[in-house]
Amino acid sequence: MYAALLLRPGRERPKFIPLFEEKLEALCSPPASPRLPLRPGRPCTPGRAGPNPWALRLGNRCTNCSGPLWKRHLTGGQNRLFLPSGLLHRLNLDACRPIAAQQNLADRYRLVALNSTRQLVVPTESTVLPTRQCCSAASTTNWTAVHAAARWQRRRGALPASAGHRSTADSNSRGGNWTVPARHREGSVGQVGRLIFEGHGFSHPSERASHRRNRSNQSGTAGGKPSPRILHLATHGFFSPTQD
Amino acid sequence: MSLRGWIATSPVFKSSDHPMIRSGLLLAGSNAAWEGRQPPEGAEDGILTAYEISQMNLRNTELVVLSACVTGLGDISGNEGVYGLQRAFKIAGAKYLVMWLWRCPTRRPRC
Repeated sequence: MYAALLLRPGRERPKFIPLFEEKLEALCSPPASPRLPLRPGRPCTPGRAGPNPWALRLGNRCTNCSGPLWKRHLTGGQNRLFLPSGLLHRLNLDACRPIAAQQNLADRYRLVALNSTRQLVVPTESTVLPTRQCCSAASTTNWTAVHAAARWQRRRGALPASAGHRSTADSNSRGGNWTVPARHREGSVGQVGRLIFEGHGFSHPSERASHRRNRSNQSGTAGGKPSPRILHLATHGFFSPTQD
Repeated sequence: MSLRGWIATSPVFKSSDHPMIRSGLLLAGSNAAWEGRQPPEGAEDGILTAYEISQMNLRNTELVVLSACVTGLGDISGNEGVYGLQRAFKIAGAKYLVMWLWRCPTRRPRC
């Protein structure tokens, strides 16, 4: 099951919106190429078991899966910040056309893909968040992080509705996009961590030695000293496979 | 996770369930921890795991070149891709990576 977690300003908890089941892709794919990636607007043909109720519901278009999300829940405003996860990172939302719409999503909205919830709180130099709404589409949900990050940002001040930058993330990279600006300083990440862990039965990670060391690693590059542009490490690497 | 806990019996970077801890880089002075011995008092263990790298801030780094063995390997988990050093550097913010999938011979090859 793929779902979206929608977090809107003024709300404490994200809204859970089911999108589609992974089975749907297999049912919609031609038998000769069962592993075709999700593509916007690819016609959905009935499988051997007959018409798929999900496909019928979604208008016989595999990737119209996002239709209910965009049509009913993401009304108002132009900017959309989203965090694709799993198979969804292969889905080009820019070219997706919701059911009965005359425009692609990119024609209607400004879409900014993030690669991690961390990007909501780690700053860059020019610092405004370009969106009002945050949508995390995930197969494995990390809603506490999204929740806490947004709650913390609301405490610090409302997220500006405009003045953002277009994401330059390329669709092949899931981690290279750090051009989306956030407005807060690196040191505040610890506060977000406390928000995430408090109230969920966990002790704050800063109490652990390994995290103290991690923070010192961070401060080495964040305390006014940017990380090097090119990093060349000539050493020994290791990877220990599992006993299995 | 304390350093002492790491090396009590089997080093955690060899036996951990977490693939980001089972992959990393060996730096100077890592012999002791790698062989399961206590590193000198006050010294780091010399082992930089992928997990630790993922907690760093490398968002200004455009290129990372890892001239080291098996830096491109990792656990493959479903549709999520490879859990290893490449994921760690990506999470940290590095844009491009050059990695190595095989073991490099220590001796310089004769040409």
